[in-house]
Amino acid sequence: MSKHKIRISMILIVLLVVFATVQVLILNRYSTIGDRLSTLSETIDKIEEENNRLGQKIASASSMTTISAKAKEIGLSETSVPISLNSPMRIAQKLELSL
Amino acid sequence: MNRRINFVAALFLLLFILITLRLFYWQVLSFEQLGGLAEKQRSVTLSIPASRGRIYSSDGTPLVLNQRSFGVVLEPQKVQDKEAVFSVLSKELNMPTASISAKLTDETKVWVPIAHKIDEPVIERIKGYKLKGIDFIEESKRYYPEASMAAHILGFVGKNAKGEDQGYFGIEGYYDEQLRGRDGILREEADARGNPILASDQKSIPAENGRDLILYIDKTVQFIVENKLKQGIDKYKAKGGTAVVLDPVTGGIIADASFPSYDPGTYYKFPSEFYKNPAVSSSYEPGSTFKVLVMAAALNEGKLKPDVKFNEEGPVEIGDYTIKTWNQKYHGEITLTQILEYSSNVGMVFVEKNLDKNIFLQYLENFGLGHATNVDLQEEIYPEMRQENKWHEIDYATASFGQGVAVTPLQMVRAVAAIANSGKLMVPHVVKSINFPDGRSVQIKPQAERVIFKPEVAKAVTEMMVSAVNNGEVRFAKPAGYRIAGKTGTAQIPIAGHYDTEKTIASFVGFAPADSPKFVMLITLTEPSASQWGSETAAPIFFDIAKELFSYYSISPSD
Repeated sequence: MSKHKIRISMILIVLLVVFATVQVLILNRYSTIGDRLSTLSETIDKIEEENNRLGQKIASASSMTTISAKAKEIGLSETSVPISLNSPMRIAQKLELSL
Repeated sequence: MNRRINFVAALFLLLFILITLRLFYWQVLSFEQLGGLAEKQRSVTLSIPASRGRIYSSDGTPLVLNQRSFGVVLEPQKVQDKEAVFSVLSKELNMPTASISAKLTDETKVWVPIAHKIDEPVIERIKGYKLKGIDFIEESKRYYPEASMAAHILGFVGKNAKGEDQGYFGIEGYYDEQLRGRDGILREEADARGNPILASDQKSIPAENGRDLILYIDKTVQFIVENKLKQGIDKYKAKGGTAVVLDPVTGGIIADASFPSYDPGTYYKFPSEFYKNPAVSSSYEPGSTFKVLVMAAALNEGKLKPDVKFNEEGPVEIGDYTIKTWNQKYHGEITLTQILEYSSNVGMVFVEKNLDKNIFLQYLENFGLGHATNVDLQEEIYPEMRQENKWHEIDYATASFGQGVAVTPLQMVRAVAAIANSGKLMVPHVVKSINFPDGRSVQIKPQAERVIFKPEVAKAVTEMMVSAVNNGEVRFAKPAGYRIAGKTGTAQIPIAGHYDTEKTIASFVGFAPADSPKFVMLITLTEPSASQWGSETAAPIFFDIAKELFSYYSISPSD
């Protein structure tokens, strides 16, 4: 067997060992990372739920019934008749007055 | 010595054969069974629930959201203290002990559902008792930030025969397929503690959440309309009432309120007859409000003009029947506009006589009578039109002032909306757009069904309606400075082949501002007892709401 062939064989063997080791390490890591994934999933669920709850609180706090009740509490009352400070005039009439 | 060696060899051989046979049994004969068990032990299949689509008002604020809730289940084989379990569940779930124990007749069952959609605080309280045999399953339920507002439009979510969530009535019923989404599945391997093994195969079908709906409903307008209608019903001692507010240009339903109503969150506590939306599922004879449509038809045919004079000299005889004015007052020579101002029945018979019979029926068809409006609400009905060969002279005459024809409130308001919309009859719609979970949005375009009046006719009838408000019975209730087009109606209720003289449906239909209508509104009151007249009951409610809407839409007086 020539020297060249032996070298190639050696390199291939080393690569094989390296890849096999990496695969074992990765598999090992993937196999044991599940608990972290579970924790993360639970955290995501909790945050989403909290987000939902806050969304509901905001929606309730800004609901018409709540706002109306609060407005009454602080003494605001409904305007029974709309008030217009200026009666609308035709543009021609406005021009006539300004001249 | 050899004998001993042979004995031990035979023993080993026998053991070897036994082990081989056992291995053959496990690995070949029981392969599938054991393989299945192993698969079951290490793999986990999870259902990923899809969340139901949310519903928003036109300003993007929520009307319906989802809330986490729980199903309560009993595991009979794990229950240790039955009496304590029954007592706690009865107290916390507000259920009779007997109905809980009745569900536990078969104790061989692994689990028995007791209650659904229970709020989290209640679940926490039950957990606090630390009783064995009670378990909880996460569910989702609807949350209504505006409580019972727009209940008839929204509908509610109940259970179908399979025990799945299903929308009923209103938007929830009509758009159930769009709202419900599709559950997903996740299948993965798990370790002894139940944590997922990422190196293994994972198969998943992702959940597809329901689509969100954006409505034309404006929650401020809805709030105003509900409050004013409720106050009006109380004030005029009516059995019920309906108010519908439409955008005449798009056909979008801005507000729709009816009483009696219900709370969609606790729908099961209300009588089922409250669930249907009266605006689309009840019919009534429109009475004098219908006159504006017949008048528009006559003008559209070019047979009459608004200034045509008619001599209102007394009752009109048609066959064996006599048609009188509502107050039995006759004003001599009056114009078509004054026919609407005085709400003259005999005047409308004159108008109707100027229309060919088949053209008159064609117009009823054009107004949308006898057909569904195709609104996107589940429970829409439409009263059938009488067959053409069953129309007699008297039927044409009474139909001209809105008796003997039946409409739903929505049919009526959309036909009048055509006058406000230059003669175009729109398809009414509640949903403005559908938002997909992936961010896409589909706008539902306003759809014109047909053109029923010429624009100049629509304008002329609008002026006649403005005049009917300014000079008619309702002139004192009208907000000053605004041009409002409208018409009152007081329809008697047909009972057992004749009209009840006391019971009426009082109504008012109109739009404002008359020159560029922002809204078209119909108010109906069922059997008001303070006064039976639309001008004294429904019209003031209309004007009360209109005043608020002028402020809300920043509409200045124009007169």
